[in-house]
Amino acid sequence: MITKLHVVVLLLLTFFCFLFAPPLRAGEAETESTDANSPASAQPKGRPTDFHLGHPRMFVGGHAGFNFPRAESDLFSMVTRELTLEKSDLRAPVMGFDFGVTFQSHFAAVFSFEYARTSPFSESRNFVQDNGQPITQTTHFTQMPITGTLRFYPRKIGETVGSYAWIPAKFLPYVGAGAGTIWYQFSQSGSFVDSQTLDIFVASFNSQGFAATGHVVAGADIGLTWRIVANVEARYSFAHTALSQDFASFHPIDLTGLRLSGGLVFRF
Amino acid sequence: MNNPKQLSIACAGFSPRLLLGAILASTSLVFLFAGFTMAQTKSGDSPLLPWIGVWSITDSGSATVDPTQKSTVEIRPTSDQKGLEISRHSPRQPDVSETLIPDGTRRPLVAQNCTGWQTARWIPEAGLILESSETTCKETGLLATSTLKMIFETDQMAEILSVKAAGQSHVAVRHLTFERDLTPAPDLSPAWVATSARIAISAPWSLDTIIQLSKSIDTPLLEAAMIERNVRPGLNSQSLRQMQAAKTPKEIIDLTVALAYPDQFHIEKNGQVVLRPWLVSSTSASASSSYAPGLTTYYPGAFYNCYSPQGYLGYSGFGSLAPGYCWSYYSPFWWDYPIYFPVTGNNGGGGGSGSGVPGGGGNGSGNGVPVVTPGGYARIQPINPPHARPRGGNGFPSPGNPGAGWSGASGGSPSYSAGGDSGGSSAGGGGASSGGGGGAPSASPGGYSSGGSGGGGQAVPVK
Repeated sequence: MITKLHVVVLLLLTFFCFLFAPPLRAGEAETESTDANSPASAQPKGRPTDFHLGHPRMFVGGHAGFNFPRAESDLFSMVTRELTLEKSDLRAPVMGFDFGVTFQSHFAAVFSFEYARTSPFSESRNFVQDNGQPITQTTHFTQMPITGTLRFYPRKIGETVGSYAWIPAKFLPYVGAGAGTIWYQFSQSGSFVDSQTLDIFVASFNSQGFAATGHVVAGADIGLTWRIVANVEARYSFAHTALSQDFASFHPIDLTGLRLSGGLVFRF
Repeated sequence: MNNPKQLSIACAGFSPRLLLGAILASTSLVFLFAGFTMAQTKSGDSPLLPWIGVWSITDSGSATVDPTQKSTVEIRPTSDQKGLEISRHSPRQPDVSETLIPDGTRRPLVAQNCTGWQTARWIPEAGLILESSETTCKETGLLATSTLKMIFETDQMAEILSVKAAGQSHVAVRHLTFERDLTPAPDLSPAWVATSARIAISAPWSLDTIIQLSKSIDTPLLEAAMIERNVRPGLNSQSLRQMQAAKTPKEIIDLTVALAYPDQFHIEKNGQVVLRPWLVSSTSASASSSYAPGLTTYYPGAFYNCYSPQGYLGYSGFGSLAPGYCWSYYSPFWWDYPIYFPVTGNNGGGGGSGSGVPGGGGNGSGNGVPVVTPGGYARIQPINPPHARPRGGNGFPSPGNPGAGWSGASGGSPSYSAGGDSGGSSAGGGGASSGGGGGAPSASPGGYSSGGSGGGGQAVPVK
């Protein structure tokens, strides 16, 4: 279940991302006092900030966002029918790390690791205890995909001027596709109602394992400095896998879903 | 005081008459100051003024020269104030003079079997005088020269010579130091005016100036000028794009970047010829007889062999150079400081025009003919590798190694717990194992099942 706390944390994270990376203005450089057209007396010191001496080929970064599972398999139909769960309760905050390599001016290969977990609290939708108390349980839904993505940038990632100066593009939309593996865990614990006898029993159900996953992405890199890039991305992933025996006779669990995220990337 | 305007002025504490007087007075002051400034500008705005004076050559090697033997270059305006009369005076050499009219006019050059042209022009925005010549000789082909005169400090001048012959470029640089003003004459400006003009002309170049110069000056020549001037413009992405949009040569962009960040690059001069002022420092035979003694006529802008009695090689380029030969360029700036080309090479070309680097025996020193290679006059090497590397090469998850830290969380055998500790008022009953058989609680599309192993109470429908 997405709580207000999740939203606040995400907003704060986004805020700090922008706070620590001042926006890039046209013509801004580390030697701001040095007008590019001013005479040579003002000697630049250190390294430039809005361009780079050399062409960075790799980047590493982190992202945060939300996972919106499609949750269309019968497992989710059952739990949302029996319990006071909605599919939206399975939305989970996501955190992840990315490592990428750029090549051919328009492409990047990105390896990502993510962690998404939600633990909504629920009650039996149709039954209560004989004293009127709700029959409660907690569901944990965890997903950890490890994926590789090939991104295509329609615009050049950066522009080499001369032999040494490299100017990154400030806004870089991209699309891409990739694949990988996803580890998931779907577990429930608490009190449940036997649908045949209406007995209330305490139990834990668990299913976990790996599944192959494929995805498509669309996003954009927004240059803050030559080194620091803000990233926003939408990723739609496809995955299904069989459930463990705690969940008998179900079709494979639907791990398909949309992930929206934002993050920061550091080029090197 | 019935007039509202009068009232408002009066309220401000001024009478109309006083206000009008103040306006007239301030206007007069403005015009007075402007007139003074314009007068100052007019007296010092001759582009030739900074060059006028007596200069001495201060290249390495000449430092050991007896001051009494020192050559000086005297520059004075022509009588019509349109050009410069430049003459070199040396105690042991005949004077060498030339008249430089930097008006951009192309003038014919004729010398023995060679024909061509030469021109000079003033580049005011950069404070440069650029001379160019092209000559073609019957036997040896085309020779092109460019010289650039530049005052880069108040008392420092550089003369940069670029020679193109047989498809190759050579660059030589000469430094001169201001010695003194010319003897005051009625038609000359006061010394302080000339000093001010030299200060102005030696002002650092802006990026716009570099871009403009790159369109009109040979790249090796401009590279040499930028190095001598130690140009360090502020750079940012916008200025780099500006250079790129102006189609500034890559060599100039690279050099601008390297000069802007000197701690990041090492710059070597590539193709600079050796200057050997041996004739000046020599104390032996009189130079006038040892220097091209067989010649009686010298042609400005021509090259002469330092050794041969028939030393004139005109504009023959370098096709006929033999190892160890040197050249002297007939110019007040260069005449007694030969440009020495230590000829090595491996192409064996012995004499024809356009034969490339002439062959020779080699000097064993490993020094080849100093030629500006396609990389440009400035050879730039980044001091640090431009690409960073991941620290230690690890620390990031990879597909082949999903990563420590979470793998232990996977795989654990499914389990359940059941009992009266769940807190439900009537909860209880047995447990189940996912791997277990009958009696284990389970979930199915139809709902949950306790597995018949006991219940903790009875559920009732929500009312």
